[in-house]
Amino acid sequence: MTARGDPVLLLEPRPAEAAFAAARLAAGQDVLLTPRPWLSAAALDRLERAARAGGARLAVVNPERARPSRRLLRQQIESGHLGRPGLVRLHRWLPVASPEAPAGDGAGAAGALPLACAPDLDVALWLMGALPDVVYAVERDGQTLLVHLGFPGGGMALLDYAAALPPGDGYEALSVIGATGAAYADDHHNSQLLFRGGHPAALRVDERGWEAEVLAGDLAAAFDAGIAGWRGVLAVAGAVCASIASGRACAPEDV
Amino acid sequence: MSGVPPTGPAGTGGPRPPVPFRCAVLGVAKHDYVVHGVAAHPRFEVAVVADDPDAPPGTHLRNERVASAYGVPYVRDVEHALRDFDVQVAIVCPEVGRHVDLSVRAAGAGKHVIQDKPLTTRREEADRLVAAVERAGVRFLMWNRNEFPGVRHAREQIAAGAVGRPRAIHVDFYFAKDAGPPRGAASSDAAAVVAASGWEPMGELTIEGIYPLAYVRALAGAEVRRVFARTATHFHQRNVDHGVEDLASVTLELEGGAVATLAIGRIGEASHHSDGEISLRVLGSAGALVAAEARPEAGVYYRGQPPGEARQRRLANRYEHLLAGDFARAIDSGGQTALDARASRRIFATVEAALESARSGQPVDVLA
Repeated sequence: MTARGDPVLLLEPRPAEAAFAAARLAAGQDVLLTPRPWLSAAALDRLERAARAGGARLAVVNPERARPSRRLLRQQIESGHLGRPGLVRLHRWLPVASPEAPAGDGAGAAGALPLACAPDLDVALWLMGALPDVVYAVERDGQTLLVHLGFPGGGMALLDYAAALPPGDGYEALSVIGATGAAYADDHHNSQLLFRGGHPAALRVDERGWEAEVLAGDLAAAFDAGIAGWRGVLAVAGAVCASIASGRACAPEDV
Repeated sequence: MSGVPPTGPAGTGGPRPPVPFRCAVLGVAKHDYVVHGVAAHPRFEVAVVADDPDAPPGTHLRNERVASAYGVPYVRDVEHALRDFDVQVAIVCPEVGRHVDLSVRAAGAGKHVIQDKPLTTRREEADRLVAAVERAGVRFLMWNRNEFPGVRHAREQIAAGAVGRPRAIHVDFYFAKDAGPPRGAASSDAAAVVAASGWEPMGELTIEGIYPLAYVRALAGAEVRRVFARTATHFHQRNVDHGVEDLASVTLELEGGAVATLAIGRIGEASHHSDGEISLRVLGSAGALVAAEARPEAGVYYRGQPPGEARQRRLANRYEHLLAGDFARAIDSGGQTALDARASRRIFATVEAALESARSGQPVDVLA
């Protein structure tokens, strides 16, 4: 609750939500967004202008940060158990037809994959605790994106985002290699077996479903954080696009 | 030399068991697993251990120990051993800086060569090896881990078309081992040790990169053409002192359009419940697979268990037997080995490009 009335929480996609969010901000109502495929740097600029005009607050929060595995890994880094993070490795494979996938036909618009993987970029930056100074990326067929980040002080991250699996479940794995320890959250380890003749099926045990509760539980912190962090993520996504286009490594500040 | 397995005399009712290939072991600097792995196969037997007279004293001691274990002579004259002991195969596993020299001399003497990794640290040496092996027409095998059950299974699934054409391959290759005091501890006397022993400082990519890069090559069926890499000295003071990496991440672009990534590091004993996370992820045009190199395995936990003892133990992983068998088949048939000289040189060139990329901050083309 704010002095302007209840904030608007856009946690699930809805029609014409960009215009809706801009209208609410312009009307003085605080708006909290989760990442969206349309939420480019330019779109964020437009919303920020609307918020300024309406005297409202705008925040972007990433539900991925609220997942139990991500929170655990972050806690282990913050506790010092893992030491200084050296390498964050993240895989996300989606089925071609997944609603989260930017395009199902391999013909996604330029920049679609980097924006689609922005939540994972954010997780990597969050775990490393810094913005990268080097970004290299390779995209194949509009379905596979590899992002390679270098951080000041020698840290690094590898993100593998693909919307290329056959219909069905996806796959995720996240690991952090620290100077004194490591943590691994891998669907490969979090699968149960189902026997119905022939080879058994591996059933993924899903950890999702907590995000909205966690996010809604700390709105004040979310609005305090605002959009500065997400601007950093989008700057990295912009460097990803630039690297793909040039075939060279880029620095986010140069894009 | 003959490439045909011996057969029984005419009229005796078929082939008799082939006579084992006699092997000269040339230098055992650190890894004796190559010797033991080959010698355990019925097609090979150790006939002699040999080295140059000016090999490091510690190497002479290890050579003598291996010779004693196999009940064979230790000869401080490599050419004499290659010439006079009726050997067909050289097992080469001295200090890395002597790998190519001994392999080239063995190939020049007409011997087939099994060499420990890494191939070399110098391009001209890699070229020299390929030329020598191909000129002599002998078989060459770079020791590798491609026959571990998890890797073999992945390869078989791909070959059977289970995931379609591989589009992306991702390898984690972490050894959960320590290499001396942690980073930040007092500097070691590593530089002096190196100067005294002749050991060449090498980072994790140079030492172990052969293994995951051989996985990528085998699974993708394609060569690497471009590399982007980041490296760091993140764990061990010895690596800091030597200025060589103990952690690296590599993006690989392959011929034919596939891509791959590699995460490699000597991440410390505390960072895994066993030897280290070594896994393969293959995304294909019709599916994907995720495989652990360590499986099958069994967990062993008990009160008072030493910290460094693996909790998960690998099982049924006699990959050495399969590598040696593959080498014997290649000798018999005159065909290719699982990782021949030219392929090994390509992997060397990939590591070379990765290290150059880490220095320059830009992607680097792999020199064919």
